[in-house]
Amino acid sequence: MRVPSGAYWRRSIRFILLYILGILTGMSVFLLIVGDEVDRLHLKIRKLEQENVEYVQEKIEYKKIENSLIQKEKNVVKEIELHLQTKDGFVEAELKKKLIKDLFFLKGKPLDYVTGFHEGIMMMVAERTYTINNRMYSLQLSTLVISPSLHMYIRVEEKR
Amino acid sequence: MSKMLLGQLAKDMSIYFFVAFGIVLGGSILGGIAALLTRQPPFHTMYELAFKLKIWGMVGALGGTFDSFMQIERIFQEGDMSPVIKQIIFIVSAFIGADTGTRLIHWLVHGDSI
Repeated sequence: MRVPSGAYWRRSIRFILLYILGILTGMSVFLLIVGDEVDRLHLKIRKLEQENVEYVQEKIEYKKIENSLIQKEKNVVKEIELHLQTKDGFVEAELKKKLIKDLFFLKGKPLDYVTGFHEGIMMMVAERTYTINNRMYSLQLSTLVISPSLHMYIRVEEKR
Repeated sequence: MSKMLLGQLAKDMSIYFFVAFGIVLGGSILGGIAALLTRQPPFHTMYELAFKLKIWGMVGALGGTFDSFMQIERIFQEGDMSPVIKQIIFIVSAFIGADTGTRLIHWLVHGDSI
């Protein structure tokens, strides 16, 4: 194998250095062209990272608030379930519509309040008469289950 | 004779000026290239390097760390003032070179503060 002599490298070293200088010059020109844009992108990355940290913190806070709200909501009336004891489905549907409107104020009320007010609810239901298709109906609250889903079992009697 | 001395002084001054200028300019640009290759903000790095290299540009141009100042001290002791003034002129020249380099880099990076 032929080994190149040292003199050959010594002769060409200035061309190699010229080549390296050319690389450095090219890189400098490239740096001057794209440097500003790269800087701007780095700045944007930093800002986005900062925003990301803020959003993560906000998310944690929202999660905490959501959990506390769920905890609070567990102790209020969320929905009212009416179980009307009547054979006529049309009457049942009409009565449900009217009763839901009348009992709507109970939604969102604390369970303690509903427990204390249970007699009032019974009286309120009993005192009212509803007219459907020219027929009058009176109601009697038989069972009241107080929970986030308020269940009311109501007997329906037609007034004659 | 004094004309020759002034000419020599001007030549020395220009060498000190350009050496300091080159240290700041070259150091900042090559530092910027390194920053670009290592995924750092290049212009920001150049801006900071220009500041940091200002004093080193001056020291490098004067040939060592505190040689010039040691020389001034020695000359003061001998009582001859003209070399002291010469050294001060070189220091000022190197400072102007380094400062020009720094300002040039700042202008290049931000397009202002020149």
